[in-house]
Amino acid sequence: MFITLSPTSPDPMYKQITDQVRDAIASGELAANEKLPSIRELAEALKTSVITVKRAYLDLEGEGCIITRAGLGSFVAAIDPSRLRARKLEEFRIELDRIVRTGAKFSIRPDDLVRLIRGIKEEHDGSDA
Amino acid sequence: MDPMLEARDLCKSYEGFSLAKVSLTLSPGGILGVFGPNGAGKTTLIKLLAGQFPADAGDLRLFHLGYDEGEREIKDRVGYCPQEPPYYPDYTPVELARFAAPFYSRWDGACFYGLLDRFRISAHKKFRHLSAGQKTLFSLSLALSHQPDLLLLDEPAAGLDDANRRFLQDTLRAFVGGGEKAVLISSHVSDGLDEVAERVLFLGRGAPILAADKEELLARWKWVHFREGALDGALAARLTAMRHHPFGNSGLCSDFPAMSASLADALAAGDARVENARLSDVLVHLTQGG
Amino acid sequence: MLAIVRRSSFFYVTHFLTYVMMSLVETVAGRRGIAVFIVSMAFIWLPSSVLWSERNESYAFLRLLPVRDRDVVRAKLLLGLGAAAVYWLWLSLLALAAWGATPGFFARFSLITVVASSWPPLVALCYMGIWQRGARAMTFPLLTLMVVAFIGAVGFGRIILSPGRGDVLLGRISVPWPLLLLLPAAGLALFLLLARVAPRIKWKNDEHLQLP
Repeated sequence: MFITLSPTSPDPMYKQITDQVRDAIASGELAANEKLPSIRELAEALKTSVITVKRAYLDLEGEGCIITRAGLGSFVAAIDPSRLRARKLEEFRIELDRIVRTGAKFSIRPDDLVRLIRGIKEEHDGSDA
Repeated sequence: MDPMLEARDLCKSYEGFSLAKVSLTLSPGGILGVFGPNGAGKTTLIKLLAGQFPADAGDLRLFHLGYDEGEREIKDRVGYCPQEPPYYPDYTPVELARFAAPFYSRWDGACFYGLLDRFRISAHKKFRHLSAGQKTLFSLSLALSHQPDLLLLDEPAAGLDDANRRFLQDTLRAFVGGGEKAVLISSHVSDGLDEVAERVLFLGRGAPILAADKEELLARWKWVHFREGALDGALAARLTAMRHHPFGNSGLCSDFPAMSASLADALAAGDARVENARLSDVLVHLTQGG
Repeated sequence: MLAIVRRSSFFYVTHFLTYVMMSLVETVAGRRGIAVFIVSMAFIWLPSSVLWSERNESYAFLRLLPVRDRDVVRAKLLLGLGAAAVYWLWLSLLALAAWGATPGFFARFSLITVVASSWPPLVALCYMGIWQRGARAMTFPLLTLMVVAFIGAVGFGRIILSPGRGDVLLGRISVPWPLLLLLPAAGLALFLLLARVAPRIKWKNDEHLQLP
């Protein structure tokens, strides 16, 4: 798992942790039922407080992404990937909205952006082959 | 979890200064940062909490004990580092430790010598000949070596160079890492100790101004930069500490989540940008009312 | 507690050693010297011991430690009491060495004991004055007291040491037995009374000595 904390990010620390853990789950890096690092271990590694990590884990548990078993630790829940996908799409929508609006200033139209995306897709397909 | 320290409506006045009705609690695993300008009462507050003198009014309990009946037990479990080092200037660090050790029930000599080593404090130099940074680090070493459950530090970063400040931050994080101990630090934000605090208390002229979870606070206070005219009058009025310059305006917002919906359009259009506020921005604004 | 007493006793020890040397010199030079020592020198040496050991103390440090004010007060006052007892014992031994078991010794022993009765309360008062107003503030008053005691000593010494009157005067002093027990007892009683009040004084005034 690759998690870092940025003090300059607009997101609070606990949110940075939840976002990155969710990413890891979605990408499959964290498999279902896999054990997450202990709160203390993560806090020490990220040089943040135990309380921050605890909050992040609590939020993740609230979303159903992880399950905490007293005394044993926290484990990745068997979550429906479509939920994570839907959530990520919403995040993209907001970012894309911003891109579309900025593009408009440069006379870049949504169609141009679609063409751009297609081009990128072809590049990726090409390098995968 | 049970709080380790509970202070309710503490008051203290003496000639020329008074501290009015400060309340706070410290739970295990937490680091509370008390910030404020000079003369705000940080040192008086910590001295009250450390049992250096009694409060005029209010209730104070540490480990569920009051200083009246539990002074020895409390001081055995509290590590207090005053702003002015009170140690005998003619004793060396080793002699000072040898003096203090018998008073504590959990003194760990190995821990003390290890810390002297780690902080590079000359063990056999008279205390008055140590540098300011070494004096502070000695204070911390002495406090940590009796295995306290609670640390009360009064401006510990003053006189520390950057490397030692980093040491201090790491040491404090490790101290509370197990979730059973707590720390209260008083500091200026510019000392960099706000990085380790997860709750903050702002003091101004003897009164508490704000007490909050640090991250929550920083999620609510943001700088909003905007193109002239991009925000309507009502919205702009909710910003404070306004600055106008030819290339944009900036205002401090105290409740960003509430404003973010109204700002969404301007943000999306690129006519407004949001930037993280620093703790010192919030503190200066609140204590100077500017 | 031992560490506190040990540090405080440093000045007591150095003072006592010089006292011993001076009193030996005076006694060897002529037995009369002891009279001056009995009547005055302890009134300088004891307050001086208290003053210098308190000037050297750091209550801010002691307040940090898990030790009660009451215990510190008790320890220091006991140290002072012990010092007074040591001075009394030393002078008695010196008198014994100088006069042997003669009536002359008993006369001087009575004088020593009577005067020494005032030392425990004196020491207690010195401590309490310092705890009330701070060692720095009390330095001048106590030094003045010591200078006055010295002048008084010289003056009184001249009177009792003037030829023809010295030994005769002292020889005539015979303190009745009951008084010899009563006065030290009274001195101790006064000391204990002061010791009871002392912690309250210290606690009450501690903070004004440390506030910014």
